[in-house]
Amino acid sequence: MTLLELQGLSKSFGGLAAVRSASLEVNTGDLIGLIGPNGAGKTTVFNLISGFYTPTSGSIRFRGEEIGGLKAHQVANRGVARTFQNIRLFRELTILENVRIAHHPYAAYSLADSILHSRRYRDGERRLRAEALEYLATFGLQGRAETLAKNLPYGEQRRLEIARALSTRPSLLLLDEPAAGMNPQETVALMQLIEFIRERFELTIVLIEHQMRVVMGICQHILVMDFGEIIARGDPQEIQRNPRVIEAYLGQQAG
Amino acid sequence: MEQLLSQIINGVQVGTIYALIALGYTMVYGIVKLINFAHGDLIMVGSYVAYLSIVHYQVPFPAAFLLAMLVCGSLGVLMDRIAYKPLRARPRLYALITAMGVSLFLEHGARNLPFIGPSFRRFPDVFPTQNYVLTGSVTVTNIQLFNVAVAVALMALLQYVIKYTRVGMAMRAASQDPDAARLMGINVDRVIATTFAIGGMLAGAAGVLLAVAYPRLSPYMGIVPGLKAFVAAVFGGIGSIPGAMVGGLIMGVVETLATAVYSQVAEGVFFVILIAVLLFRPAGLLGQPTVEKA
Repeated sequence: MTLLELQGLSKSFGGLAAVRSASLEVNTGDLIGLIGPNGAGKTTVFNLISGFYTPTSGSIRFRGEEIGGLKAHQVANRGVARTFQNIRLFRELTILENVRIAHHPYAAYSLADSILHSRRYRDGERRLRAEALEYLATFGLQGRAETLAKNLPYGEQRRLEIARALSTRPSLLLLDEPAAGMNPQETVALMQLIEFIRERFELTIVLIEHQMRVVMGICQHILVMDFGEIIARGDPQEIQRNPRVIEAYLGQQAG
Repeated sequence: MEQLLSQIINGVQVGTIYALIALGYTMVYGIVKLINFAHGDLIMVGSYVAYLSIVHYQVPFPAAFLLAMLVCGSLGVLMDRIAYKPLRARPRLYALITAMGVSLFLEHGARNLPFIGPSFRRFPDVFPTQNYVLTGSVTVTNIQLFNVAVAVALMALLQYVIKYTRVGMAMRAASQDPDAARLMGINVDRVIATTFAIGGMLAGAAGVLLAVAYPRLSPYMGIVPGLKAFVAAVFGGIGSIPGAMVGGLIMGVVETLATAVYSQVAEGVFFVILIAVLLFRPAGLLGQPTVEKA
């Protein structure tokens, strides 16, 4: 089943085309790698899907509904979550608060409910808290629920950001260079964790990676972008042999 | 010694009112990085709403108080909606200048309404003044007690909302990173509107308390307390809620003490302290040093 479909998606800033006529289909349950050299337009694609940018042209359909041009919180409420290349946690909030902040339908009690501690409030909060603790446990952060996010070491901040994204209960998770700044062992561990959460929370995942070999291990399907265009798609073996991909990467090394 | 104590009591009363006002400045700044110069004028609106409803419609005081808060809260939201929201994506200076315009609009708008301006109005005595002797010549009035109690209760309620409710959590998240908050499904525009509503309600309450303590109303009565509360917010660390509370309180006490010693320089003294604090702690007393994002 097609979960996300981009058709002829373009975004330009002034005269500069950051994404040119990108088309892709993501099926439910996929784990897709989006790779390409720096400045290829990968993050722009994420910004378009998650509602930070309005497409210049083209369409973004999520579960069959056009979401291009919706506001970011509306996209989030439809089940799309993402993380950032540079970590953007709520630094002054505790770890638990970071994963409890997400807007949920059953947290829709009023301010009066919360001040009066009505039953609706207590039940809603109890469920949310239990769920939040489960996300933390999945990411090995359970013992530090009351620590401020800014006091976590770097690798754990990265994990917390993914946990926070999960707390919105997405069906599609967009990870922007989740392994950035990690050493090879940490990277391998993270990739295993991503595989695990994909099954545990029945997610569809698109992840951006800068280094090709990181995604080769876990993604069945890989898309390669260069200069705003998707230049190749296929399984890891096909991608590694593709002359345009080799050129894009070697070209970057030679330059 | 006794005189000092009396002055401190006076100072605390004024200080808690300043704190209520300063909270509005600091909360709005924390989330949209705007100094809402029209905030002080909500004080005036609040006291006139209470005045008119008590004098002309015989509304009981507690109801008039709540009404003033509600009107000012709504006016805060309206202000944002009409004047500031359309300018959100523009350079911050645009909204700042607009805020000055909104301020003038409210002051002169009020002045031109026949049932408000331009002459002074006297706020009715809502309860007869009673003096309680603490020690010797030190007394405290029931008005002072009432004002401080109400202000402290409102601040405690605010603190609770900010710390423990979902709305408060969303406000804190949005002030730290609005984009990340959107990704959590939070409607940041609504959070901003809520912030203006809360700030407006506190200013409305401050307006009524001020009118109870100093019952002379005029369309320009909000300017000076608004300015002082703004300075108090900067002193405490703009964007910091505890900072606004502490800043307001210190402002009130210092100002009252200085007035008692030498009234000519009273208002200057606080600014001297402000400059000194900002020299050594540029982010204010409890403010977080911020790195400007590009």
